[in-house]
Amino acid sequence: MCAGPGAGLDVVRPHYRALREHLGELNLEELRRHKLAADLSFLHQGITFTVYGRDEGIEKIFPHDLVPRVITRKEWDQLEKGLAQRIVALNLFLRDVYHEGKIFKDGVVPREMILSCKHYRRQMIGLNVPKDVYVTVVGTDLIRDRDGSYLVLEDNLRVPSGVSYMLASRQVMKRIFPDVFQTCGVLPIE
Amino acid sequence: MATLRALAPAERPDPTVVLLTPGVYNSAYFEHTYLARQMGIELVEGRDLVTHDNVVHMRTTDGLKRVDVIYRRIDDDFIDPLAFRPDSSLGVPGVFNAYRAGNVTLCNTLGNGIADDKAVYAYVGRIIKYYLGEEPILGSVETFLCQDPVQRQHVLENLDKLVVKAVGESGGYGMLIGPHSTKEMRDDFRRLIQSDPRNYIAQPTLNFSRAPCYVDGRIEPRHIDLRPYVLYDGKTVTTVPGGLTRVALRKGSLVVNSSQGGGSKDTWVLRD
Repeated sequence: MCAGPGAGLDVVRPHYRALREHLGELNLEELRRHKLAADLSFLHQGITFTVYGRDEGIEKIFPHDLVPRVITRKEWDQLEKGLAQRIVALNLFLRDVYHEGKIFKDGVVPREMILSCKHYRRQMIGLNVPKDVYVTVVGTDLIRDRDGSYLVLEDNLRVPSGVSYMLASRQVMKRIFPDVFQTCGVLPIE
Repeated sequence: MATLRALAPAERPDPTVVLLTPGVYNSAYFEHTYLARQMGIELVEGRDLVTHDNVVHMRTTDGLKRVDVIYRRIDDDFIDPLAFRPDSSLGVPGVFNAYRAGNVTLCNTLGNGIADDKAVYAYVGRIIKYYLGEEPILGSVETFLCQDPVQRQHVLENLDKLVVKAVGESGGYGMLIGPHSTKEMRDDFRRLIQSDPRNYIAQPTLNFSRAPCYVDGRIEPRHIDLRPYVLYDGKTVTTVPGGLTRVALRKGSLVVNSSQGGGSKDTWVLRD
């Protein structure tokens, strides 16, 4: 058994190659140390969340995985177009629902379905929101299907969370693997 | 941050933006403190804000300071006891009237949850075609509405294969994963669906992708999803390359929510 810990990456898609070459050079002990360093860094930054549904709130360190997920530029461009289309259409939808309701009159969406939504707010009827922007920020949940296409699971147009985990994760990864970002050509998230 | 500033009331050239948090007992409080620090804005709770004559002010050591944009992380129901739930002690009395008067901007606005309703989700493809005259670029998951008698019958006959979700819930709560369920759980959901069909939808169990993860000293595949963040200021849509990849760290699990044994990993979009 001479395969390094990177062996588990053998079955991944080709764009993981650069990452595999880097991780493949590390031995298990080094990976373990990196993982420890990452966890400590999250702990010191106080990156925690609370689990509800127990007798008391339980504060936990956010579980973080060391191996990044890699997306090609081509895949991302397509995702970006699809996400933009969705936010613009849903923004128009929200404006319409709380104003003229054309989409009901045209029989595309049943009015009763919207009025019976738990999160319908009659206080918003007729209110003109600044620049007609209902959705300033969304965090759309997607999955990759068996055939490789991305499907939307949820849109999350209310108060989407998790953006701090994205930022903090990037900070920590940059500290642990400083050179890999350069060699792999990772787009910045700022 | 630029997006938030762009939405300030027009006559306010140098707007004051604050992040409104429900407080330290909220599960995302860490995130609120982190984001406020990153954006260089004040982190406030409801009691730090007061409204006078439909204008919102923040209490500071130098007295009151006018607030123009509120990035609010409080749910609709709790943001203003005068307009919504009167028992809310987290919100700011009068903030909704100030918003109506155009003196302050709330991001996101209120009432957006209708588009998060899991039954409305089934219509998003048609919504895109209706407003934009375009085919949807991203696919959706096939969704059965329990409100519809024919679809409901199909759901009830296939509870062991489908995933059933309550339409207004999120975070993996109020859900039945058919293939991983017991007969007792399925019977419970059968009763729930029959007593309130509008409140439930069902979807096929998805075989979504896995990615290599470092677990217990080895690299193993785990199921993942992706949450990219998208910003909109009325003109331009901005996406952050990548986003949050959530991982179902338990072997074989399909649930990625952090409240239910999920974790996260960094997401790299390659320049190529």
